[in-house]
Amino acid sequence: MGRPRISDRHGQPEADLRALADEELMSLIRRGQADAFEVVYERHAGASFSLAYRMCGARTTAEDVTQEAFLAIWRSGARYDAARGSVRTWVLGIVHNRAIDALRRNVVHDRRRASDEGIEERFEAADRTEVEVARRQQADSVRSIIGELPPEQSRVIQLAYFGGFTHTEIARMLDTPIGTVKGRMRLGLEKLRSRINARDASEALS
Amino acid sequence: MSQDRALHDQCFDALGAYVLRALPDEEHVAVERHLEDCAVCRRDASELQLVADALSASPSPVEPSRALRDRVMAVVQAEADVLHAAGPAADRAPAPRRRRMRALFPRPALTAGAAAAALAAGLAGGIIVVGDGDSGPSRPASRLVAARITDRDIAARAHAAVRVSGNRASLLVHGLPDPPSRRVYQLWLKEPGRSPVPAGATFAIRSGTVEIPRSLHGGEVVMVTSEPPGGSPAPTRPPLIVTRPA
Repeated sequence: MGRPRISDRHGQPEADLRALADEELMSLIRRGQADAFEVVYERHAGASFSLAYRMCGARTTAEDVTQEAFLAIWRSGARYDAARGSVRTWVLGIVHNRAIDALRRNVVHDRRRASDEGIEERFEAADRTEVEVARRQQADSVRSIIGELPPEQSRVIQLAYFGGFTHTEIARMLDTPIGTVKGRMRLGLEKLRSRINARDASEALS
Repeated sequence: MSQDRALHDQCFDALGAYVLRALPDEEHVAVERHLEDCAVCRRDASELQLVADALSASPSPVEPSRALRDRVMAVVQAEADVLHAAGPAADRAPAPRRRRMRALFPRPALTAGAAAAALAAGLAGGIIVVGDGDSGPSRPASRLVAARITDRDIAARAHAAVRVSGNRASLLVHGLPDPPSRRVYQLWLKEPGRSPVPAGATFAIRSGTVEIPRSLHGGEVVMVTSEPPGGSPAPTRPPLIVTRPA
């Protein structure tokens, strides 16, 4: 597997770059440093593609979305604001927006999945670091918490967040009033929030 | 007052849909505007946003192809190479909101940062924006002159610019295809109202720097055509690369 090229211009060997936090890499990216961008890509492309694939259901579309998102990040790296959350969260937010745009441009609705089932490919990337292991565990636990939600709440949240449907479309699909759909979204999110908080609290104690 | 209250209630109820991005555009914008004015909704939205953030990181892991990485890095590297032609001290400011070609016209007030950002913004179409790349007191001022690649397919993958620095100039290219079979690339300088004259050696590189024998006169254009080996006294084909007048 290729590694980021050693950058003569900046004299910063790749080992040093990999030791930098995402936020520091973002300010190097702002200066046009491609090797810093490459490290950010390597760290977050997997999670980005996983989200895009979950939403788009097809590799090529998911790759296009991921590519668009990362190029947008490269070209406007200065827009990242640490006060708004981690770089990963920011990156995934961009991927999510691009995927929603792609889904809404595409009239083929059956591509969109309500649930995680039926995704045959699970290329489990080797967990290289403790951070990655922890992230993987958190992802697993969020999925299982979603599974524990009342089905009507879980369904509207997944149709919206992963399917890219608007509340109007969801109301039509489920033959339910829009107000009810919005209410279920809010209740479901609040329930997720409290269960995630409870999980974090119990982990902190264990 | 009751109208505000009604609006607030509507927005509050829509916050779940809002963070899930399930609102149609007009409603999304309306809620966003309300959030600017309403601390209660802002606080609630940011808590709900944390859940949406957890959702974004929750899908089962699926590994992207190696080819994706290569495609992304090819574009990034090409753009980085041309950015660095403006000088290692060139900085990038936030990209302009709209990538408009009106940025092509020289604006003497541009700082190195804004120039390099305009450069980055203009790269998508194979056109590079004029910058005023003054990179610091100890270096001679250098600037980049916009260059257009006339073949659309080539323009999608390649980039070109001319750097003028003091009394020297050079053509920077990245990602050009090989010249057509049994041809080489040739540089020309063309002053307004005159025929193009050959400028420097012929070349066949895909990426790199080609020296131009002298700096550019006012209004002069740099062109690249493909010619038989050894070059021609006059262009035998329309130009592949053309710069904006210097």
